[in-house]
Amino acid sequence: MTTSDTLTRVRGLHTGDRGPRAPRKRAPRRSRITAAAYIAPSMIAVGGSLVFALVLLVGMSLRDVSLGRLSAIFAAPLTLTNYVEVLGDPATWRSFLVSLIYTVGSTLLPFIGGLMIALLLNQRMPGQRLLRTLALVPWAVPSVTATVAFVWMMQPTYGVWNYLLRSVGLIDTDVNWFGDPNLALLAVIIPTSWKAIPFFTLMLLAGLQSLSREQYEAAEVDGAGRLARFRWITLPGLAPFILVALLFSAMHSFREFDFIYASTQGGPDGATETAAVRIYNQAFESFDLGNAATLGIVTFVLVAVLVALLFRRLNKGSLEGFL
Amino acid sequence: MTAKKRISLIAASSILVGSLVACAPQSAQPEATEDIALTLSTWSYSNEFADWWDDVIGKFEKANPTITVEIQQTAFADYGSTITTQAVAGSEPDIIHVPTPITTLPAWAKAGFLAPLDDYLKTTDVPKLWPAAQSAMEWNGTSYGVLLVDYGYNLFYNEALLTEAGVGVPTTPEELVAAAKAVTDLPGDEFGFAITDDNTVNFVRDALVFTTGMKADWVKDGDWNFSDPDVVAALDVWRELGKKYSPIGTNFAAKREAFLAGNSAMMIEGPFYYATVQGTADPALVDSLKIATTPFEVSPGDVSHGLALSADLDENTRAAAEKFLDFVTSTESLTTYSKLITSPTARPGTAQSLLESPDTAPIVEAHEASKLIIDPSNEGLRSDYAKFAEVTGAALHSLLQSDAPSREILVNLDRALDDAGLKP
Repeated sequence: MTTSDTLTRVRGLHTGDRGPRAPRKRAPRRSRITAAAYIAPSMIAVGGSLVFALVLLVGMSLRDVSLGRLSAIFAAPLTLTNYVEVLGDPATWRSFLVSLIYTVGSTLLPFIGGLMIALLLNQRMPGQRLLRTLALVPWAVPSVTATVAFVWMMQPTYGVWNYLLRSVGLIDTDVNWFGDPNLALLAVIIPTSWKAIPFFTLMLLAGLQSLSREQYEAAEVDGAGRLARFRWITLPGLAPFILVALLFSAMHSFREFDFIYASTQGGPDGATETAAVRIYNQAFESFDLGNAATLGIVTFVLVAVLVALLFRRLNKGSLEGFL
Repeated sequence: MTAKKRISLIAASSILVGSLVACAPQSAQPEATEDIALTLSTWSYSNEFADWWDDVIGKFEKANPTITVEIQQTAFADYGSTITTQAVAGSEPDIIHVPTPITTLPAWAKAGFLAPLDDYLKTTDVPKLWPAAQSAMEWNGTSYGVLLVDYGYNLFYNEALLTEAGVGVPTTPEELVAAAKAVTDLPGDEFGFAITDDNTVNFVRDALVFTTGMKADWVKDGDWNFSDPDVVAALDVWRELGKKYSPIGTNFAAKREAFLAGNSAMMIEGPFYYATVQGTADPALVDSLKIATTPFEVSPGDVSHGLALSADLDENTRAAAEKFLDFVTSTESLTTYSKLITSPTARPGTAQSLLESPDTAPIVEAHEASKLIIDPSNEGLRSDYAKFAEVTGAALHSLLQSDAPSREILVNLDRALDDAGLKP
């Protein structure tokens, strides 16, 4: 068998080339009813509160009332004024763009970091267990604590970041990380990425450990080098894990609020005002709940469509196009 | 419709109806009772403020045995959003501590959350004795609260650092800049001054202290006037201090910390911070950390701590809440406030104890001559303060971060405020 044959066979294992599916066996009717009864209370509680919140939001978004009692808001006539205002406001689209950049940045950076650490921790080495535990530490740090720590570390005059950059001669004047409109977005991406690295590490390490050693041995016998083995065995094997991790992390980043609000409040000059921060600012700084609710609905629809498209792709099992 | 679809539809409807029923407000018929429990929201139940609240509430409950007052403490960062959310749902506290009344009160008053208090105030000495700053508790000609505290800003200075730099306590803007330069030029890492340099509303207010102090009106005849030469000159002083003689990127906590730690020789702050300085500064430094009046012709001032009542109180609760307002605004309560917080109050004569010490006398002097940095009659600005702060903040950041001429930036600011549809 040639290297090419081996790799083609290996790729087939991970690219949806699974052959005909066996028919699913249906559980007995009684078991299904019991299962439904078990999950019904939590479904009603969780689903009910979600539906209620959504109904409330839609209702508020369809009334031209900035702030008032719920009774007064819902007594107002139905209108699409808020949607016209929100969709016609350049600040809305700027906040989506900021969200997009923030989401991509704070997903890709920890993915790369997490992948590298996972590959490292997958090797046999002394202290492996301790290192694996230590790699999870950022995850355990509460968001507020991490934010305070990063705000102090990145404080332009007294922070350790600028001190280090000055010490190695990379800068000669202090960099105002959270105050410079050109740098503020990067400054909020860094702490978010740091905190997300353990999630990727954990997911990808689990994926790496599920890969068969035989595939590597077969490829090695056929003369595949380290890079080829990574490209044609590791990466396709990790594909489902990578996609799920990227999706979850992106969804988390898109709605991230704590880091950004605590460090920049969406400023300076809107440079870090993501959709999540803008919704908060509209509701509790500008006191325009109607506008905030509308922005919330628009954001919800956008994210739902994106997630649905991605899940559809995942369910089809065709990962070839991704990696 | 298939059986599967029918089941799905029934399930979805059940969830929706169930959730709506579960969350629907219950009709609340108050039980007739002699005892009344008032709820009071605040962000300030900590340190010296907590001592004051405990003192006032303890005495009030003793004098009114059928009334109890329960404090609901919320962190300042979450305070506005918490009260707003509660009020939208109709479950706000009976007595609402209003933060930064100039900017927060209009939104809550317009939304119908706060009770008009004109009739109540007519029965008190507030209209007769309270300073003009009480108008910060008004919106559209109606009073929605009682102001507890107005104050003049003070210059906080590190006497040892000024002495080391060979300068005295500045009394003019020119002396302030010269003193800041002299300290910054010392061989150590100390800065001469500290400003708030972040993305919060404090950033804009810090700069406006200079315009008020130097008699520069950024609103004139109902229009924005930031490009006026006097305003440009005042903000130039702030710009020079911020760019050359202050640490950068300091939020209000970092600014205060820089002063407390002896890293900055001067800052301008509200007088209430003096108690914190005395209580938390390094013992080796504390004797050097002093206050004076600001080095301006006019003493810039501000308001804080107003009390308002929920618009939905029943007759008995409203009467009890008004009794509490009477008690809180009494000479005794506000004199205690002044002593504990080292701050003036809105009731004249309550800060006399501060005059007894030369260390705290500048607090009273600054208060008596103070002029608000934001005129409460600027209802357009108050109504959309968040937008004003965003647009103005962007221009002020440009002043600190670019080398463009101040006048050019401020001409653009006037234009940007107009373009944003904002009117003072």
